Amino acid sequence: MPNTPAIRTENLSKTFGKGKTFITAVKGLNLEVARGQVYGFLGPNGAGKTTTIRMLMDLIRPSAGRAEINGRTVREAGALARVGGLVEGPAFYGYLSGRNNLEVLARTADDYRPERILNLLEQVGLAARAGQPVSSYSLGMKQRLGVAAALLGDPDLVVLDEPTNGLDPAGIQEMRGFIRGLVRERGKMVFISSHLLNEVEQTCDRVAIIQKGEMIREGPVAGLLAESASNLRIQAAPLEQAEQALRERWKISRESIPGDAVPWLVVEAPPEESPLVVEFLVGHGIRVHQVVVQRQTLESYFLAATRDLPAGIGEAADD
Amino acid sequence: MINLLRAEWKKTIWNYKLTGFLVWGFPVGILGFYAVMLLTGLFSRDAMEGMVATGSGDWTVDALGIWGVILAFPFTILTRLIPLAFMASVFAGEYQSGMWKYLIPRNRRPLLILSKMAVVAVLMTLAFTAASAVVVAGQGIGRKLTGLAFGPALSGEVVGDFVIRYGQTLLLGVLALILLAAIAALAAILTRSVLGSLLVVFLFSTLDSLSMYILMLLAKILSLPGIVGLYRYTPQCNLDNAQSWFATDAAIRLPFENFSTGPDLGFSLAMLVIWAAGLTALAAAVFERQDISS
Repeated sequence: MPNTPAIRTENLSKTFGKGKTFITAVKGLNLEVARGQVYGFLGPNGAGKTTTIRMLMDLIRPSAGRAEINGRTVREAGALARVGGLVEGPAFYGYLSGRNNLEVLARTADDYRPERILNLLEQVGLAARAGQPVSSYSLGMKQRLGVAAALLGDPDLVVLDEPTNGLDPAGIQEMRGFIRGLVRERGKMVFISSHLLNEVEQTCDRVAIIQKGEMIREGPVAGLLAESASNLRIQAAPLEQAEQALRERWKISRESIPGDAVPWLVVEAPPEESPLVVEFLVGHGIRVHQVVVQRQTLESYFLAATRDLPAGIGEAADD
Repeated sequence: MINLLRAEWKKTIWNYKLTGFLVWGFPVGILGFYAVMLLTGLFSRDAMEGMVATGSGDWTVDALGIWGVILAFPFTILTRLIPLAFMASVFAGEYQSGMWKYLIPRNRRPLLILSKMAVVAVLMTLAFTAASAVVVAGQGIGRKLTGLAFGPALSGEVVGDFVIRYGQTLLLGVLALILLAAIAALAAILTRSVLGSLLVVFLFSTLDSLSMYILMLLAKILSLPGIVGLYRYTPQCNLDNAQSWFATDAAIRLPFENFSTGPDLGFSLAMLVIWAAGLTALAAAVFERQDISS
């Protein structure tokens, strides 16, 4: 089934409650996720991400529409046999050790291989604590055990809901590498939901953004970031003269940044126009002190998309 | 299925706090009782005689006594509370630990429920059987020390009769355990809480235990005397009736004009199986459709 999407949803909807108190958590979601990539699933709190993931994992029945994994509806017996999931934070039997928790889960799936459990515990850095009760684990350790649990059956598709929750910066970096490794070295498809947009930007090939249960954007990360123009930020003197000159050709605004003695001029122009802008200012006898290209980030894109505003500007980088 | 049962067994048996109090509490508690009484009896003959007086003097009878926790109305109204608390914890515990989200994608929902029921029934059966052995041993030692007989003497016939009698009690006990486990599962699925499911299953057990009196009352209030006939379809009536058939080879006597005796043994066993299977199927069907949203 090389051409069958790993995940496909068709008009997937979920409504909780009835009568006047119903809430539509997911509304007509159409999603098609190809194999061999890391796919980010983004949305603000309450957007319907976890409800969608729960429907994909057959934990919640859709009110309408269908969800397919590897071409089979998730409710079919065995449809989730090649899927591993970490849904909404880790949960384990606190009185059992990490190793025993994994054994219970592996046996539940009728796929108990002791050597695989030891191998996974080593991969997620829990081998040394494998025999200790999970109640003594930190949140980060439980999170890593959750990822090990998701990988127990050597799944083709790994669904991770907030996999870096509770991890320290080093742990986040390690997890990012681990997730990338799953795709590049082991050919897994990873579907990841996260609030950490910087992490998603660095980890994912494609993203979908949902809001109020509906998809509002979908595409390759690079493509989405390229969708909205970047800006140039300029420090020049004399400021008023520079402002007046630039206004002749570009849309500009003034921005004061705490700690900076001189205000910045924000020019709505793509990075490739920066030599032109500098040349233009110099031609008007204006001294240019700094030109900075403001790159669009996934975070700013996400905020703009979910607020229904034009994409804003985020992280700055020297040009 | 074997792996699923082993998974369920492991997570249940390793929950020492739960099984320690609510399962092994029966044999260990009785062992503690006999240990204390025997030690006290070394210094006080009265204490020793008091201890042996708790038994019948017949080991084939004493060995069956512990099953009264599940079977002997009206004590069952209270004594069932301990196994019911265990069952409620096993079923509703998965909601509280948030583990269903890991378990459900790994196997079929009805099998997850069935494996829990099987482990609960097997564990309680083992606990009651161990408790039977402890009672017989404690009574045997006490009677030996006080010089009292503890009959009947072992013989092929006695052992054969005892095995049959114990097997019959075991059959009814297991049927009752499965029935209660099924209602505990259903209650846990509906309430998603240990306390909630314990309350529901306790209510069911109590209403069932008192069903004869409730039906008599309803018959009086509604002026529908025939309504008492429904009693023969209740688990309590059929448990009592089957016990009566096994013990005396006769049906129970009922205080109703038109229904003065219980049904035959086959009917009672069939009704118990129907109740257990029906409640299990209902629990599995409700669970199959349930949204696991926490």
